[in-house]
Amino acid sequence: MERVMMKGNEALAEGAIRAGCRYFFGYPITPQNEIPEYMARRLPEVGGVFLQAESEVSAINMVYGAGGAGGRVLTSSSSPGISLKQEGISYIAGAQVPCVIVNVARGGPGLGGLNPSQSDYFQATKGGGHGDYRLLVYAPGNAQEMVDLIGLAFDKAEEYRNPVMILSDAIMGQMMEPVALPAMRTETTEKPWATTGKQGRSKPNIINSLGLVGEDLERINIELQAKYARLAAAEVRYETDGTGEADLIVVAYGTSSRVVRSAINRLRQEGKKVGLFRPITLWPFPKEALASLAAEGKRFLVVEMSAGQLVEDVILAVNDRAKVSFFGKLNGTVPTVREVYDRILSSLPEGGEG
Amino acid sequence: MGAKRITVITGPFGSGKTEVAVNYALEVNRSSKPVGLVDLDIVNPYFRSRELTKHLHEEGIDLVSTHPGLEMADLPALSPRIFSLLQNPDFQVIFDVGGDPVGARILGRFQPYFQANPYRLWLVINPYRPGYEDPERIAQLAREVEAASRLRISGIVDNSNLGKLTDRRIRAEGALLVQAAADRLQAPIVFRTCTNPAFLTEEEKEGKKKVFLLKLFMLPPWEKD
Repeated sequence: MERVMMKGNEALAEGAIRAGCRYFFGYPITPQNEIPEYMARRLPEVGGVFLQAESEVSAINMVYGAGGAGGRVLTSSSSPGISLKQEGISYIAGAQVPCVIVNVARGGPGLGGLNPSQSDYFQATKGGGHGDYRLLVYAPGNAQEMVDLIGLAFDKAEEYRNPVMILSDAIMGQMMEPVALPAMRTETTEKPWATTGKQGRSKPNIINSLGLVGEDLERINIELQAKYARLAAAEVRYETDGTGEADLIVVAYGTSSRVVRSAINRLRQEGKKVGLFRPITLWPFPKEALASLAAEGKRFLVVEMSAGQLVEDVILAVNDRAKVSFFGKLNGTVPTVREVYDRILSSLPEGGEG
Repeated sequence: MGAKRITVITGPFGSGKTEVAVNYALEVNRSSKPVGLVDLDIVNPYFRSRELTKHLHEEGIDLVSTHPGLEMADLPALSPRIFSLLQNPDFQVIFDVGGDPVGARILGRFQPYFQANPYRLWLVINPYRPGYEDPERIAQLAREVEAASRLRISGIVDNSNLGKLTDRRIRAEGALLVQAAADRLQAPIVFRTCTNPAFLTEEEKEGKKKVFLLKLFMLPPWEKD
């Protein structure tokens, strides 16, 4: 059977297995539980290791260890659990260890609720943990992208020796769609830096993030920044739909982008010129692409399930060259197609605004 | 579709049992009232019939679910109203039971009522869900559900679909797999579901095979208004 029906969380888990992931460490939290549940069943079948740690803090440090030893390793959690992992993520970034971290985001702050939310955008893209570090952050927009982006995430994590985050949410994780699964990958990347024994070398490999002497830490940070610059130049991904002829461009990712697309299709049937700009990498952010659209005189509307986080990056990217409006939903609620439709209509130039 | 007072609808995680249960409750409600629909999913709080409480109530269907306000709580908490439905012989009661044997275990709690009342237990299968393309796996699941629930499966609901990619060929190929599982279990196919009359087979159009047209309710936000 070439296609199967999978929930986003399951698609992501199977996608990880087929990308060669053989280690999973995590701790339960709704709405991501299908991922560890799937991995608990599936990893032993392919000779991998699943371990439910005693806490998120333990889980992320197990990821640090397994990644340092060269394993393809995954952890997943949801918002409060991702907060707990931040110290470990900073260590992993500092030690340049590849791994993939999935956040199936829910409403916050605090314990929040189980509804979908996009209010972890700042945490994912601007740090979250301490120090000058960056994660490559992918935002899948459908079940197929769960499979495709998790595979890419493992490759990029190893290429750049950097943690990669998949920022999903409760709806993306729970909705079911047809997906085509890739073949199982078996090739492995050379990891001469991994802590797998000296193997005849005179010096041992050491994985740590310590820079006790000021000059050492400066050198480490310069190296990291050079890597982030390479990553930012090469790894930007986004999707555009009808932005060329549009009077108004709606910027949205993940669940919001699905609602926006439905609203845009309705407006197009009424002859309105509305485009969609969907960032697929949230960091590096597709700022050049947005800047050139702003230079063409486009207007922008940002739709997200937060009080306004993505909108800050859009404003920075267009840099006063275009009008940017914002529509956000709070409390873990998803905007309806009708709400977005109305909002786009009132943001259009002929809508009387501005 | 028969006159047993209690219908239990179960199936693997993501098989479409909630869509089947809601549609079936609406169908029964057209001919025989009153109808109670019990959302007994203790496995997962997303895409549940409890999201349709208002709509079902307007249709005259009594939806019994988690206590109001706790719909999105992580803890499974059963409503005592389930017992009042079971004890009222006037009610047609439809149970929507959560995924896999884990979800079916909860039925054991209502064992005395199932012993005292005629019931049907339907297993909803979508062979396009990973793993369930294998008839032996479906048969194995059926045995586990029976052991966990302490009930006997009386029929299989063929819910072969690939979401938006469903067509006649998808339904036909799925039907072969579900039929193979039903043969293994020596259980009848209760009906095959279909969301679009254009995908019906000639036999279904002529009434030679039982088909149940579904209206989808469990839609993601972008497929609603």
